[in-house]
Amino acid sequence: MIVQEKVPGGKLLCVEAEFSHGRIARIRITGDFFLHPEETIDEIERALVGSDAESVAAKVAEVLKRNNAQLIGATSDDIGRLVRRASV
Amino acid sequence: MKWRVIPYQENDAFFNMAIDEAVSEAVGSGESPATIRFYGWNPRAVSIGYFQSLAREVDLAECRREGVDVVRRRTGGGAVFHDSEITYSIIGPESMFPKDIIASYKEVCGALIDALGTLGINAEFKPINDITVGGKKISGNAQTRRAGVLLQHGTLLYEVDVERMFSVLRVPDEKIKDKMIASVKERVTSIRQQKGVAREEVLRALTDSFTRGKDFQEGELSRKEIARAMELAESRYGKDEWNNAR
Repeated sequence: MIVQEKVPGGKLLCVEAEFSHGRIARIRITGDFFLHPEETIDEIERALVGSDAESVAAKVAEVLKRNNAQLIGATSDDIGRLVRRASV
Repeated sequence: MKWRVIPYQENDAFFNMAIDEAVSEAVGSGESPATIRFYGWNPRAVSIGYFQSLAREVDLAECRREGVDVVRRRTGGGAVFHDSEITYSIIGPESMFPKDIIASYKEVCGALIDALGTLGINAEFKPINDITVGGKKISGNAQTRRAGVLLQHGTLLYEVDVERMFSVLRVPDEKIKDKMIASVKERVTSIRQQKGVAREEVLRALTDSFTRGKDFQEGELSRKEIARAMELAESRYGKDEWNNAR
């Protein structure tokens, strides 16, 4: 399922996610936000496979921290919220 | 620190994006000075942000029919139809810019705002990455930082044809496309809509404001940068696996 949102004060964020038994089977995060370094997005998506919607925000935050990466125009909580919406 | 200014030149989309990356590498290794370049897109092109979905943002069939190139940038941000506009890049060691990202956008965009001011157009910075005139967008900008180098490129609309823009860009809901075009017309402006100034005048004003207070010299790309850009245009920016990655 695809959900998208213009983050208040931020950018457009779009989450496309497929679930299997309550866990993420496939996920694609797109939009016009910024993330330095950009490749971190692949690691974020990989880290989320197998996870349930509730733990997404924390996992994204963890990957960002590990890579010393900066997400601009959206937050890890925004991604978590959209994944929850995509999960119902 | 000496700056290099590369005067306006037109290239195709793949080479334009490859040049920005090749120059960033050369600045990073200390082989090239911090650089400001102005450029245009020939043929006309759509660039999309690193994180955008190509299929959802761009009408590829229409682009093919119209001979419009499509390229994914290595910077985030939104889709841009590079039609009648002026694009710039500023590439330098991160240490030359504010550490805070919004502050650095504001500083670089300040040069565009000053240039518009000298043309009699009163513009302001709209965080995160836009410049507006009377609340209407006239410029979009995108930045990345890697290996200690900051790259910011952006576009300044010289003329805008919103209908033509949306013949190649997709909207989320085709059913309300007309309504969306009408609303974008209300929210976007261009230099020509504000002032009857020639492109050359705009380029002069931009060059003056970007170089103000800087030790600079007009220059060109090094042979090594050109060779590397040709390689990147072929191996990355011209490749489906890059452009279609999301």
